Amino acid sequence: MAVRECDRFGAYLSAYVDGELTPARSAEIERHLLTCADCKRRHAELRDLAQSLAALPRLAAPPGLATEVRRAISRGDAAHRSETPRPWWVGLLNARAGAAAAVFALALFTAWLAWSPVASRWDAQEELRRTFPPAAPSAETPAPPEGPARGDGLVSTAQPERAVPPAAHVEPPSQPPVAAPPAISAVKPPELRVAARDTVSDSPSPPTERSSPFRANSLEVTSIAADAPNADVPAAMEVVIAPRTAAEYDAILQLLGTKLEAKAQAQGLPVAAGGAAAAEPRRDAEEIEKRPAGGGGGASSVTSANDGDLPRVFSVRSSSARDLLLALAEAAPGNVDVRLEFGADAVTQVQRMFDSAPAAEDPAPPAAIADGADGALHGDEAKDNQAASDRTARGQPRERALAEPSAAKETETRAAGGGAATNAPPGAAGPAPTESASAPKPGSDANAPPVAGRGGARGSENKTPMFRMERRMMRSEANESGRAADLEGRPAGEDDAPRAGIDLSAAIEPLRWLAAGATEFAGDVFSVGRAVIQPPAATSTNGGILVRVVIMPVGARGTDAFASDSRDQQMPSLALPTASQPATRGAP
Amino acid sequence: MPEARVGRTLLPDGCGALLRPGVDCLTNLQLRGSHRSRPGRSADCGNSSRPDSVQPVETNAVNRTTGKQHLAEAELVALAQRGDAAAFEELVLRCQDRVHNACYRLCGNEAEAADLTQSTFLKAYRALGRFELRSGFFTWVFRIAVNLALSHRRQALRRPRLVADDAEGQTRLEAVSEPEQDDPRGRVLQRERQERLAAALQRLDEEFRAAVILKDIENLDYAAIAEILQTPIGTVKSRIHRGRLALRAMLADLDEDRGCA
Repeated sequence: MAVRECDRFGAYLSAYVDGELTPARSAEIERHLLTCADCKRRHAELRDLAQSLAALPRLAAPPGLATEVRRAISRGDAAHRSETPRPWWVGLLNARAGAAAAVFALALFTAWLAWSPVASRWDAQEELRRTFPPAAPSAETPAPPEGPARGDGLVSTAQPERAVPPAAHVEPPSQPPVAAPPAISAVKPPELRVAARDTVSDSPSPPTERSSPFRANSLEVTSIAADAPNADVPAAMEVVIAPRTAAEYDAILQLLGTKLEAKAQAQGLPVAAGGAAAAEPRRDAEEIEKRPAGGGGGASSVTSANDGDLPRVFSVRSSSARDLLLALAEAAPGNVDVRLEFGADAVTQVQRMFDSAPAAEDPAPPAAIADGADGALHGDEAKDNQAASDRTARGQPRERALAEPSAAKETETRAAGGGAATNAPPGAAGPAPTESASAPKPGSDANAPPVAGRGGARGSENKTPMFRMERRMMRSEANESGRAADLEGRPAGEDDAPRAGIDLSAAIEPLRWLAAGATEFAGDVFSVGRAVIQPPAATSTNGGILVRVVIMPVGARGTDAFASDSRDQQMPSLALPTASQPATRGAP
Repeated sequence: MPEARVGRTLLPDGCGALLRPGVDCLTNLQLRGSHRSRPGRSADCGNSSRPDSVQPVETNAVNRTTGKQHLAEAELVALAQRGDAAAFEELVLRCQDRVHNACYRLCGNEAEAADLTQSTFLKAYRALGRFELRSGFFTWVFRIAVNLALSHRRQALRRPRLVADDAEGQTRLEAVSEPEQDDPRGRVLQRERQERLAAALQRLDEEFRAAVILKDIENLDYAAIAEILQTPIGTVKSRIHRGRLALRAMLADLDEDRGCA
């Protein structure tokens, strides 16, 4: 009897704890609990568990979320409100089944081309060319013409059978476009394969001998650059991204990966987030207004922290790479010049880890870095300092650190390279001098922060996975496919972030390293603290926007790592030596 | 029968009436972990004396510039449906903390929770035209949030990560969020237990986790949970019970492991 009652009442105990039973049922259970010690104990456990769950700390919404939502809504209001349910087949497009169906359809089409007497007389290639006019020069030249109409999908150079060369091998603007691996074009819609190029290789500055792994290229999307209002860009604007976790790391990485695609979608840029610029492409801006701000359903917003004053700070949040980029793009009323910068300690740590790798065992990674289209990353110190000074003049604190590096930080700064010159002429396409992993690094200097020592130790212990990943990246670059297995080991086809025909690995690499380093540095947890987008100096004629990713310490251990030099101090933001010549589009 | 109300007696003093489904759910709970609250944000116990059941969230008081604080939920919804962004912003302000907290517990990641919260409201705005006041706005928004969070988590599980954001990473994040390191032993133990509990929650099957979170953390009643999860109340009851049993078992295992260690 008792057993049966226990069985019978056991399932009601939770509801009893929650007060969700009828009075009659509750009375039954109450009576049972008086007589059954076992059920009484279980009841007490469930009650305690419910109390413990209720007592879990609550997390308040981020400050300004409502404002961000409102801004996002206001940006894409029309699109939002007019949204209609997607037809059933749209979902298929995103499903693997859809991909399979597409492949099947392609196979059928190919077979038809092969066998059909009609098809034999039809020049498919010619038809494709008609469908997607080449507009070849606009993609690879620094100053592309107006390009195809905005509605055509961005793309100035989208020839189906040609893709943009990987960043590592981008030709200088004056050179004709280089044929790209067909694999990329095979997986990308024509409109996404375009109008983007890596500008790093354009930098004329001679590569300097630097072994820092943190050499990212300045990336330029010509479709963005084409919208640059040049001198009209605001004097200072920051877009602060605050990636704190792996997901946001991903978002940043995806941002870089999908930069071109998203930019292409946002070809109407620039939309002046603060109304300070981008008055020129009015038509584009109006069109953008009709576009959903969130892109593919994600959330993005750009919040201006202090409108009217310079620098204006924008907080960008996004749940997807595309959204993030769109948000950035909307915030950046000019060319987008992506630069990655890392805090001194993070750089030092990862660099030490890098250094600790025996050259004999793995000499390749540094070479990969050096070769990875980042030749222009080297030796930008003069321009770097110039740009830093420019920004310092505008009162931007992080640049102050760059312009006036303290003695303690100078080595890290140099280690990571300078590179703040947004208006640096492109050039130096040649690969940077390859350095062995064992080459002495400034980061290993005695005056490096204490944390560096710990990071180096850990890096020494855990270097293998990092380098394995690095080798993978190398292979990717060597294949010039830009789509070989990426860091996560995913086949290219599964990558959510289309490469859009450009090899972004050089720019992504530092983030990847940091991301990997964050897991490796169990003792010193770092995360990407924030990325800053800045327009060029007022003297710049190119209207570029900088994205700086600054590593900040996270957690007590990370804070300890910075204890010696105070978190409040302006860390030297290590500008990844980059140089870009954002192309400008002709008048719309 | 005090036990029967255990979930509700935990409401902070001053929060007033028990939560009821629908619009009443807009009553915002006080941040139980005050150390988690952020600068510039007051504890958001809805202490409003407004006659309607919708009580404002007092968080982001500094940013409350909507000018719609005096309006009831239905009015705000009607305004928002006519395109009044300020009205929608007011709605967001009223329930953002609860949505965000639920997202956080559902996905286990603070940053993702923030994105999910934002996505939730954007999605809600887009679908606002289809919203009927049969259910409370909060319940409706919560349904969106839960669906988003669960689908996001499913996708995340399928997607390789660059950085581990697993339970260990979460523990790290929690520790980051709670910097007090020289607390008394009892507080440390309590925090460790909370971390274990949060970790166990993340290991729970999603259908159980959602039900348990909505019940025990968000303090919704079964009817509201059924509406949010769009399942019968009996199913909700079963999921909550089974979820709690599973949680209890996991915690027991964790305790055993710690004991062995």
